[in-house]
Amino acid sequence: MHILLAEDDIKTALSVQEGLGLHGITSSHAGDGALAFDLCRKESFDVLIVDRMMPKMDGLSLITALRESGIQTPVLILSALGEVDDRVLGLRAGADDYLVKPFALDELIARLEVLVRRNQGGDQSALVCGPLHLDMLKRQARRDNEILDLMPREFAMLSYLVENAGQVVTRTMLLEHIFQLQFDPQTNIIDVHMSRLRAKVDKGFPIALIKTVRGIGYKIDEH
Amino acid sequence: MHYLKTTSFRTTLIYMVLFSLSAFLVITLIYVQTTNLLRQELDTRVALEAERLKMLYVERGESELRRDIDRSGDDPRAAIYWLADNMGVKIAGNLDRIPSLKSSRSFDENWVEFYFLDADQKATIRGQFIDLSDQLRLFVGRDLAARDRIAASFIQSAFIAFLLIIVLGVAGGIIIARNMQNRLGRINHAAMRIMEGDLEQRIDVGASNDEFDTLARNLNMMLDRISELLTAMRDVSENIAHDLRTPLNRLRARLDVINTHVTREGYQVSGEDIEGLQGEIDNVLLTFSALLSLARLESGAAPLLTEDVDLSLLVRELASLYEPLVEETGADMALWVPDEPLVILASRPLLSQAIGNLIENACKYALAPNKHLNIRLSHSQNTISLLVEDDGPGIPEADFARALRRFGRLDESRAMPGNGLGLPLVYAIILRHGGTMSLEKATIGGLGVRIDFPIHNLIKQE
Repeated sequence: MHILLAEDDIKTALSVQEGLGLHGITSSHAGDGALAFDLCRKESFDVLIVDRMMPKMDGLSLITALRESGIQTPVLILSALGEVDDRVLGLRAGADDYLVKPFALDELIARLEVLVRRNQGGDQSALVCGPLHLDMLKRQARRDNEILDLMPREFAMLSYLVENAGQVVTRTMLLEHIFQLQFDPQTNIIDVHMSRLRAKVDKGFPIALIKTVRGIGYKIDEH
Repeated sequence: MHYLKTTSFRTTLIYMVLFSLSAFLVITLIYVQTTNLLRQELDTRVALEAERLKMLYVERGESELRRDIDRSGDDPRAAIYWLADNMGVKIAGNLDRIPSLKSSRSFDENWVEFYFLDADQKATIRGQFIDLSDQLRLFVGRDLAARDRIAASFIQSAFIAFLLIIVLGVAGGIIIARNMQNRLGRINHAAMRIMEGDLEQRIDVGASNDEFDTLARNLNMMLDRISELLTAMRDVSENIAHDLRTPLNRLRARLDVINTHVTREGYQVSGEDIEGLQGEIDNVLLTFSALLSLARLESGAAPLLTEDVDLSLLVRELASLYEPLVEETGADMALWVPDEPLVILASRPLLSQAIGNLIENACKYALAPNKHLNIRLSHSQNTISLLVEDDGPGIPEADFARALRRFGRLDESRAMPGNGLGLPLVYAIILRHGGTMSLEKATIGGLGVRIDFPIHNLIKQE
């Protein structure tokens, strides 16, 4: 994966680049919006990480300019402006995801992986992950041909996991995607829902498909 | 005489000038009208008299006319007669001669006005010439002294009136200015004292309930509010210091322990250690972001990004989101939501957070096996109400106000996890949406939180 990091704070940029490097992600760095725009037109990136407050061209203008010139590379906004309204404005401007500083590196990487994958995969009417088979039209899930009795929300969680099979999905990502909540409940609410889902998907089967990734979130894997 | 520089004094002066001007105009108008009227009346009388004498001459002849003039013309103040031949030699009358026409003003061929110098006093005479025949010329006139006296007294009265207006205006200006000065002085005095640091200083409110008293009362209320905010801010800073220092101290202590292990025993730092430290830092960050959200909500700086939010749907969704959490506590959740949509203009994320926080709070502080959580959404003519109530331990009514304040954690809960910003944040969100929120003793025993949105937020469904 090759990404562009548009961030005016050199220290943050270096530490993010170092963190990405540890996960095998290569990155270029642009210190301001105008430079980032030029780089995007010359080179092709898998994802752009864009800071909102930058000299010369701020993050939102950069995204608008990119979209207007036909560059559809997924964009993740990285910002210290964490209010819900800022998030909404960012997403309206054409960003694909929004992460608030300070953030955990794992959270950033999980989101990058999902963004890249989303950009590659098309619409699918069925999702498969090992013994799991999800019929997206009937909103029905089977494991080894046995229909799982899932609530609509549980099906949504499961399909989100399967869409990103092999990738870690963080709790905040689940909150945003499944529950449309843009705040961090101060309780382990996702864990409770996940343990219910697990009881239906994995209980009584030799292999537990849903795995907890300590301190980060969950992932589904056929192994 | 510093009153002279005050706005009230100057305003009074301006009014005085305007009033004098209008008084002058009115008096002038009356003067002109009155003198006109007097002249007309005089002219009528002169004309009638002239007509009578002319008739007398025509019917009875010159000698009868002369006798009549002699009879009535003893007093020159009443009517003035002068009968002369065509050479201007007087035949009869109480006027000795007609002054040369140079000292007179003629209005038309017959009417004249001239100055007549009597032995002791001068007079102005106005009258009419009538040619009775080729040989006889008659003048009938009246002394204008009456008119002049009225005019003179008019001018005198006007002068006195102007003097009075000026005296009253200046005196009134000074009185009003002094009065204003006194009352403003009290406000200024209080303001100075407050600037010097005496924040408890308040303005005396008079008894008259006029605009100054209203101003004083409002300023006092403003001062109360400011000092309330200052106190709150002081409390908040102290609480921030306490609530943020505690986890930071804990963090520091843990790092010290780990460091000691590492240096003394060659201990390997484990992922668990680091996760523990990350957890502490996350707590601090959560508290910070809650504080920032509160500050932004309360300052009202940025406008809310609002959309149509169906409260019925939102409450149902949040209830189902939190249902497993409630179940985990062993308590029962009951939900009453109307079937019809109740749509208001609101920020969906903020409302979700507010309602979510209430349910979380109940889970954290109130719910236990065999306890109950009731969530009830209803609407009346004027309001949409959301009631979240539990039958947990509740909080004493005396603490209701404190529970809504920042860091107003009740002492019993200091040991519990949380940052004391949950309820205040909910409160700020609801206020920002134009709603009201109050705590009450729940009918089922514990704490009840009631949120009311005014119905004008409701968007009528077609």
